Amino acid sequence: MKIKVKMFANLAKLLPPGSQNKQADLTIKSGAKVQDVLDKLKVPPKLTNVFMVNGSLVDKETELKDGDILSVFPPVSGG
Amino acid sequence: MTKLTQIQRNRYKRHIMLSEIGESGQEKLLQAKVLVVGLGGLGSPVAYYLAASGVGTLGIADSDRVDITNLQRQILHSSDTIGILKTESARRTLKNLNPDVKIIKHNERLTTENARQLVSDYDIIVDACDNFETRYVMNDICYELDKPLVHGSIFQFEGRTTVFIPEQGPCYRCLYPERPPEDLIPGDNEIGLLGVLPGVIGTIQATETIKLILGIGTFLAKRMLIYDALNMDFQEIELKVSPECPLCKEKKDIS
Repeated sequence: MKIKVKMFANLAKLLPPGSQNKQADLTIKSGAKVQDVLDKLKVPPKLTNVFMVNGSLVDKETELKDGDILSVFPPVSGG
Repeated sequence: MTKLTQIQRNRYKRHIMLSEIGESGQEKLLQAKVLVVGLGGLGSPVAYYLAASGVGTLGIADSDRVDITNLQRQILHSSDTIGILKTESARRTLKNLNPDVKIIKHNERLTTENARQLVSDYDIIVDACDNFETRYVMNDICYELDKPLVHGSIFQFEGRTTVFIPEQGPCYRCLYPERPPEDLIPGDNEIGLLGVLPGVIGTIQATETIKLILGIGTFLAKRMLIYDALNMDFQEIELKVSPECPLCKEKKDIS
């Protein structure tokens, strides 16, 4: 199945090469969870717990469905 | 509580006209003690508006000196304060704006060693700093001392802000359990920043601080506002206590 991943701040650099506008379409296994996508993109395990699927907060164990839009928000430090 | 003078009634007239504030609300603001940690892009509008609003005691903490590269966004400072400590530069600007406000300078970084002593005298802490290390120190001490922490952070065209209220949870560690690796999330000096971006986020932080002092409205707690200046988009994310958070998990067990 296919999902869209949006990476905020500079996490976009973990997306597949050639991705534009900080987002990419990914093909994942049916039944994959948020954590599986994070692992696939090599997001460090304790970086963030702030993810949304289709606009709602989810956790790492949430199962994804075809067509979902997953947004990943890392911390930023600027002030 | 000390009563307002006639000059103060004039200075704060537009506050007093609001039924949610009135004279008693203005007196509360004048009695309040707020610590602003960081006097850069975020700390500038925060301290500026808190001083203008008549927050009576403002602690201002920063160990840096004003640099010309700051002036594109750090509106507390100016060309003629380049090279002097930010706390002194800020004090001059804030005193000039509102002599009612007592300014307490802390020319130091917040560390695990000095955090308790620095924070304990204040009612509300504003996180306007520019590094992860200080953010975690601030989170932990505010959690321990039960002080509301008004968070703001920025990156290029993106800003985030929320209010952490310890007894309600979540905290910064619920969201971001560990300090990120430097090679993935760069430090403040290595990123570009739209100059006006901290103006938007810092002004929201000042707004929430004033509401917390007055106890009015709905706070930006348990939700984070994410601002994308490039696409002029505001998103709100609901925030939850993490079952793995070393701080909040403990507190949950107690209750």
